[in-house]
Amino acid sequence: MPAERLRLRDLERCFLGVVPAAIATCSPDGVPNMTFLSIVHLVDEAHLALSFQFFNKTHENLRANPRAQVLVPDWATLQQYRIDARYVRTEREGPIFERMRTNLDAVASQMGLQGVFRLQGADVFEVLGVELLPHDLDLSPPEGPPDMLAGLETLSGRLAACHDLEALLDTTTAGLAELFDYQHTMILFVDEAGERLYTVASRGFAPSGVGGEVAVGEGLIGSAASERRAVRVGHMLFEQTLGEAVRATAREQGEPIEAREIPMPGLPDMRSQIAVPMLARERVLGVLCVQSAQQARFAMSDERILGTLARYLATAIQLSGHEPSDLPLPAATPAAAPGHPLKIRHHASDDSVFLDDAYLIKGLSGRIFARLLGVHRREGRVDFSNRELRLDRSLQLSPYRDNLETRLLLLRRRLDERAAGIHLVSTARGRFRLELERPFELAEAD
Amino acid sequence: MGAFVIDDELAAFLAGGNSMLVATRDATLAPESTRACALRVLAPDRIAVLLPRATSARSIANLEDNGEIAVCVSDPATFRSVQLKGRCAGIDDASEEDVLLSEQQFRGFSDAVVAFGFTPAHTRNLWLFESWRVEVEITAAFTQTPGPGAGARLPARDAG
Repeated sequence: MPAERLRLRDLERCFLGVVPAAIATCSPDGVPNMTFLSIVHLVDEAHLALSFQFFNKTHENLRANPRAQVLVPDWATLQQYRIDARYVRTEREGPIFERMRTNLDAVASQMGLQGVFRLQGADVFEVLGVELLPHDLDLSPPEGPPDMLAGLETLSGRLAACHDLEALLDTTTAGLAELFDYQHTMILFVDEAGERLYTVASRGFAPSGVGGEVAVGEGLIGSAASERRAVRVGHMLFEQTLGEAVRATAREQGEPIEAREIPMPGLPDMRSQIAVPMLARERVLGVLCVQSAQQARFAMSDERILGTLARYLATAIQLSGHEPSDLPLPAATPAAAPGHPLKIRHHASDDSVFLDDAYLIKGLSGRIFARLLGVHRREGRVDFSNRELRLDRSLQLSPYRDNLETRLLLLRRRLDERAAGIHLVSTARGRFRLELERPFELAEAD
Repeated sequence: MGAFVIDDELAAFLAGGNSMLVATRDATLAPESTRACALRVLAPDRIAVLLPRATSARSIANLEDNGEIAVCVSDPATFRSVQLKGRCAGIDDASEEDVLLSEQQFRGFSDAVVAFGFTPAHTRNLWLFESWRVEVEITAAFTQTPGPGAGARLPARDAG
């Protein structure tokens, strides 16, 4: 293929961080230098940005002699491309830098390498030419992705027909699997304090992970929330090996390192992950996260589609949950279920709840659950409305309407997973029923 | 400072199944990169690298012009990396023995990257066996393992 016909955007698979790229430079006194690179970022049709972290000789050379050559393999075929480039500038702020920094910081945080594995700058290069190197084999690249724009149109149509949070979340995870072949999805919401993300919906994981938490600002998922940007990893094993190498050299240099690597929720053999913030009206509601056991599963196009979908979902969630106002709740009480009583313990200090001594839930969901059980014990009532909970100041709800919905949904799903004979069942929009298959004993503790 | 000496430990590392990249430069100081397909330690201060004919024409021309060369060797399983700098001490056709070494080092590399999800059939596209053999006199070496120590010069030792 003639060099002039190759365009940078045709090389996207080279820029997914799966196979290390390398850069050759030359000092002003004529000594060549060769190093590996961790991130090559496609800026536009004529520019690349390379991460500047540790490679000091390269940076020193570029300041004196801007000529460079980057060698990048396509991860799918391992065909190699040579890119002739001229160093233009180093950016230490702005969109290109922030984008690369967010991803790098998220990976560093996941590995417990904050501060050591840190982006110093984004070196921006003008591309002078691209050359495909000869190779012996002609390997066909993998099949292209499904028609993602058509998928987005279909899914947004289905979401527009959803009336409540649960339908929105389930339609999203099912649609992502069916229309985009994203089989492993989780949706996490920011808690009332804005400090943690808790999983409310998931698909393709065993166990489901519902209720699992990560700290905002920590790791690949938490960083997507705190930085309000997508975080994409193309090859987790590569990142982990790189992290180990950095950890070892940092220790040799006497730098203090946190030994802690954050446990990654989700697939045990996860290779690729993308986490996008769910943003609406300047607020981060949570994070939509998709994982895959395949390497380099997610490209820029996936990031755009999922980012668009996550913002749509966030807006739809904010608009959902409008409840019919003053319809009376049925006061009739079904006969008490027979059987061995379930022992329920509620700790007021953190609102954690235990069923037969096994942990169920904590925080606002636990507080809501304790309130429902208390009302049932006093009044015998089993039917409740979101509205009455919303008006109950003792629950200390956040001003965001969707916060109650997500906590209730989380509680319902945790109860269903535990299968302990106590469930919350939706009866109408904004209404639900406490279903008891056996009696319970409620104990309050500190 | 004496010439850099490759000790036994480094020689064993260099002979493993590594990723090997070579930089040269032309008279205008424009760098040129290519992937090497074998590395042999010939003496404590001398190595040979095999540069594929199909991808290395400009590298060979640069070496004939000025002899300046850098060789970056990286273990794909650990990312331990070393960069050797030196001058070209001769260019020749690769021998049969060299090609056998290249095949052996390809197998080592290919076995190591299976863990990263690359089949030997794919990895094979990085390797080309018809090569030039370039002898290099080593003048300095640097650690290149990613991390805060990257770029540090490895200490030179007096031969013998």
